Amino acid sequence: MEEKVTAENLYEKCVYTEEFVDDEIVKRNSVRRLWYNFRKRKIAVLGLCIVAVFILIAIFADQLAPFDPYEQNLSLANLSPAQAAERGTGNLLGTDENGRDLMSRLMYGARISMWIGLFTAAIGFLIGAPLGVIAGFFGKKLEMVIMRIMDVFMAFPQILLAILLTSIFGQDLKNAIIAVGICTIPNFARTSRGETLSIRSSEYVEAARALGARSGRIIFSHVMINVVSPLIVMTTLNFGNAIITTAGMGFLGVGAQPPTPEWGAMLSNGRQFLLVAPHICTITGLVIMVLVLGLNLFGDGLRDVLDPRLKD
Amino acid sequence: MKKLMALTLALLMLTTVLSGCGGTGNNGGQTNNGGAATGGETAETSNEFTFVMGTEPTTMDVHFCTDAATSRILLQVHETLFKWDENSENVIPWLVETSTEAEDGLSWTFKLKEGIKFHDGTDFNAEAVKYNFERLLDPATGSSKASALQGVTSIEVLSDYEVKINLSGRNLIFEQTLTNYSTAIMSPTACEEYGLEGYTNHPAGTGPLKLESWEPGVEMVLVKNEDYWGEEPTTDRLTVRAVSEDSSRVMMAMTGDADISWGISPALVENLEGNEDVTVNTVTGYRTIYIAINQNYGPLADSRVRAAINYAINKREIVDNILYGVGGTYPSGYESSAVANAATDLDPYEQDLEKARQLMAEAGYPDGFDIRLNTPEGRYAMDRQIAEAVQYMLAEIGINATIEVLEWGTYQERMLSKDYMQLFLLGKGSSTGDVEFDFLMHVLSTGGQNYYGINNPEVDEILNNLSSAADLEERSQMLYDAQKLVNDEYDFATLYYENQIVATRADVQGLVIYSNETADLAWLTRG
Amino acid sequence: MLKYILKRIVSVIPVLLAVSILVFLMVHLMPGDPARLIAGEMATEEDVERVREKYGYDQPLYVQYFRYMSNLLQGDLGTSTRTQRPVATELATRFPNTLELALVATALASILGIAFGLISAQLRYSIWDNISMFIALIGLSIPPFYLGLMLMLIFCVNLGWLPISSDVWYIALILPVITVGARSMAVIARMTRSSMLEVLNQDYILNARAHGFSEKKVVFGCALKNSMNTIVTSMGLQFGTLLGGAVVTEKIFGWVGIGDYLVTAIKARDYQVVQSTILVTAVAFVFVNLFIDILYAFINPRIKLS
Repeated sequence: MEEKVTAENLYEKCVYTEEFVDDEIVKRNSVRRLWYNFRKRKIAVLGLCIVAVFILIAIFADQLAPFDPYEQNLSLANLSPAQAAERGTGNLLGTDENGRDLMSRLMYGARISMWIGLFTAAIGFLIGAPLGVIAGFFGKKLEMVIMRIMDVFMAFPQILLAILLTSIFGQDLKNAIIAVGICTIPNFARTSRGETLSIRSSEYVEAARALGARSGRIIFSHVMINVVSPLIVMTTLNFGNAIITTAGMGFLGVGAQPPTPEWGAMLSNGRQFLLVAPHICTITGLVIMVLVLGLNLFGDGLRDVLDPRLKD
Repeated sequence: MKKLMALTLALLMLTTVLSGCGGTGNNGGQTNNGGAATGGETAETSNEFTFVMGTEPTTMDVHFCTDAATSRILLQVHETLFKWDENSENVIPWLVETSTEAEDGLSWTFKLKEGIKFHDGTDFNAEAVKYNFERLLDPATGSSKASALQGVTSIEVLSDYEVKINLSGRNLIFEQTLTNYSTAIMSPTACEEYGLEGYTNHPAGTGPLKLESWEPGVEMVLVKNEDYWGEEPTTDRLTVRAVSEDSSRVMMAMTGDADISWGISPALVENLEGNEDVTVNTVTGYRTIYIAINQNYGPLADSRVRAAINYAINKREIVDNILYGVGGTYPSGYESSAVANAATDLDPYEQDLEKARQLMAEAGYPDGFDIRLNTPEGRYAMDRQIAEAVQYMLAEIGINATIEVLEWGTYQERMLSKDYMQLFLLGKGSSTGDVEFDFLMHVLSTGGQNYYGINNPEVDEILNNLSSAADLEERSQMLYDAQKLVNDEYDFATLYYENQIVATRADVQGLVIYSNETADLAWLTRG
Repeated sequence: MLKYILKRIVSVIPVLLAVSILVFLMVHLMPGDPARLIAGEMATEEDVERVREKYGYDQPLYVQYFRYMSNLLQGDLGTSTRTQRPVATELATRFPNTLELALVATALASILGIAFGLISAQLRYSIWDNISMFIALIGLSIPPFYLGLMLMLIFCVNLGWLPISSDVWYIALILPVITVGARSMAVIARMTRSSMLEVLNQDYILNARAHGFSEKKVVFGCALKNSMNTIVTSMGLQFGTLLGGAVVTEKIFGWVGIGDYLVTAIKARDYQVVQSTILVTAVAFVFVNLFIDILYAFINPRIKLS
């Protein structure tokens, strides 16, 4: 965005182009500089905090959850937080339709959502990015074939493609994650191809090529490194998207198997009780929203810092 | 300035959403009467009604109808030769004047009512019956409901209003068979004119309502048949809409957007009960919901294990807490009490964990075992939720079940493979309204839907001898014995009988709900 | 120009062909026997066999594919096995509904999105910038199914301001449009802001300012015009996505569109419906993209079509 020339980014420009600078120093400095820049963005820090809280909850769900998330008590089903407090059952956020503690389920659900985000991003990243880089770097026939295949996938409505794939693989969380992951491949491929194209013609790649470096070396030491930072940003923003899409699938009944406390499934199950126990949907939906909001805030901040050129 | 206005507007939207979220958390669903007044007023002037259900009618061709929701509408336009009375207890002749069974039981002769016309003006007569039954049986029609006339070998027209139906074997309940919606009568002229593909858009039956317009996916409008042969219909106009969301159907009943809302989720009944504008009708249906036990799977072959499963499940709690006491009827035997000849005094096996654990130990599984529990989702009321409860209950006696939800298409395939399913939640009904049908499908060792590996020679023998019963009473006794045998073997863990819950506006009268999930919608009044 | 359009259309054909094969394979790979589903719960084996023959499901796959494709080329989209009606007829009812929702939602989202984007780019770092962008972020973060449910709960149930279903088209549209439009609005607002900021920093804007052009002229005449490419792309992408049917929203509000139709068809293993509908949406999607590319050329003639 705003590219003011300061002493600092002048330095940045130097280190990136001059290969003789010691790698260690660059790395240490760049991480510190990134953090310095990031810290200035208050809202992004808030995002980071939200995400951090969710990560902590996910990791320590066992210790934090007040109840066993699978323990049922049918006679205490659908208690709203107020009713639960009145009865003194100790369910801070009330209970769900089978009388399980909503808060404990949400906490374990955080863990599942983290896996969903990580795995879908990993699939998109590990398959999509190399495809895009290869297409962008080698061009010609190979590029055409790869990008056409991506076009075919893009032509499908995303959530429907995911539903179709899940129907084929069999309905469970693992397959839903894979399906959502596959759907993100074209996005990653496109972005990384675009980045590669612009880097391929840049001076330092030309220089490396002139010095006789092989394609493989160029890809790894120059192209990949430069493609990675926009992709990291994309991954963060995709993380939230993946959580929403998977939850959407859970909502349509194509996802996690019960009694897994997956947020989308919880919301979908609670939907039946929207009129009698609106707290299930309201709270679960709010939790999803807050996490995704945090991820987006964090992702925005990261983008501003890492890659000012990249837009949505 | 405009920018600012847009901004404030958006802000307002946001705050409403957020404050709404906080507020609703505590005070439950509130009913609203604002919309009701206007909804009621406009419709009160005439006998026009809006009927909503979960799925839309798929066809108006009798022979291609395969689901209860479609049959409900189909039977307003078409009629069957016989019909259940209002309490679904006795079969009454409907389009038929008198019926006689031949001495040898190999044929039935029906004398038809005279002076009845189809909606297209064609006369209803013996030819029409013959035409319809032959169309249903003809492989070229490709109907999946041909089995409704199983055992029928030929149809003879004796005179204009007399038809004789020849059977391959004796059928004591043949009249009852002809209440099945697949045997409803369509106008032969219309069938011929529009063909297999076109009839659905130009249906002509003898029913009290006729099709006026149909915009698939939007709505179907039925209007009064002015020339109806029987009691004059009072419904002038019936608009049928499909609303798949459970809560939407409830809200529509509350706001008056719907006069009749078919299929109310048990959880939401509580919501309607306090509402003076809405009446909730509950009728026990044909369907029995149970945990099916596949005896081909190791431990389940042992009847002690099956008994333990039966004793482990707290059916009372499922009916009271998950179905809110209205979604299902506590079992009293093996098959829904609404079905003819269903035994109603068999042991439903009340929960007894002590006994269940003991049985497990006796069977050699003191520490339990792992198993898979399959369930469909959204097919039966609260199905998934019940499966979750059952899983938790089974864990109490060491049976460690993993739930797997499958789509219905996959579910069917897996059931047919015989080995895949172990414990699974299922519903069964009877298309004839008699226990026999269910036994032939589910319990007979060669039954088409015996997914459970049940092979009980004693029961098979009873079933094979049914047609030689001297009279209906003896037949009834034989069926009772068969049910007792099945119950004693713990072949199923029967959970409950599904209730049909229908919400109507309080001023709507004249709705009749049948156990076989159909209804009379032509004699509705407001008052 | 015409040559370019033709070339693009031709290049789309292999993609569509691949889509058709892929859909066909996927549909047939799904477990579940369509014949049994059609026959219904209480059907006997003979009943099922009869249905199987009727629909040709007993034929080898490639025969089924070629039969489907040859019908398709003759303009026959097949018949739904679930409803016995031609797919073309059903799409004729449903596609306009999906189109209506997509158009209104995209239009509203664009107006609001661009407005928010402009406000925050123009009043950068002010409270208005923060508010606009926060709203956009909420729009981006709120799951559509949650938004839809809450809107319904608040406006239809608790407040009773809106009916759940209405015959008046603009009333029926309100809640679904907000539900699907929130996200599009957010994307467009963010896109507008970032591309406006980028353009406003360009030398020629500084130049224009230095030459004393009015602020209004600078913003709307130069900056917005030059950001339009990016904005139009995101509008087009949003529209294209919505054309595939907003499955969740349609389900919640009982909107008779393609999304809900497709999901039901997938569950019912209604092969021809799934195949034809996905093909139709793919065609629509591809043409929307084509249209955007052409639109570029009009907005910004400096961009060459290549």
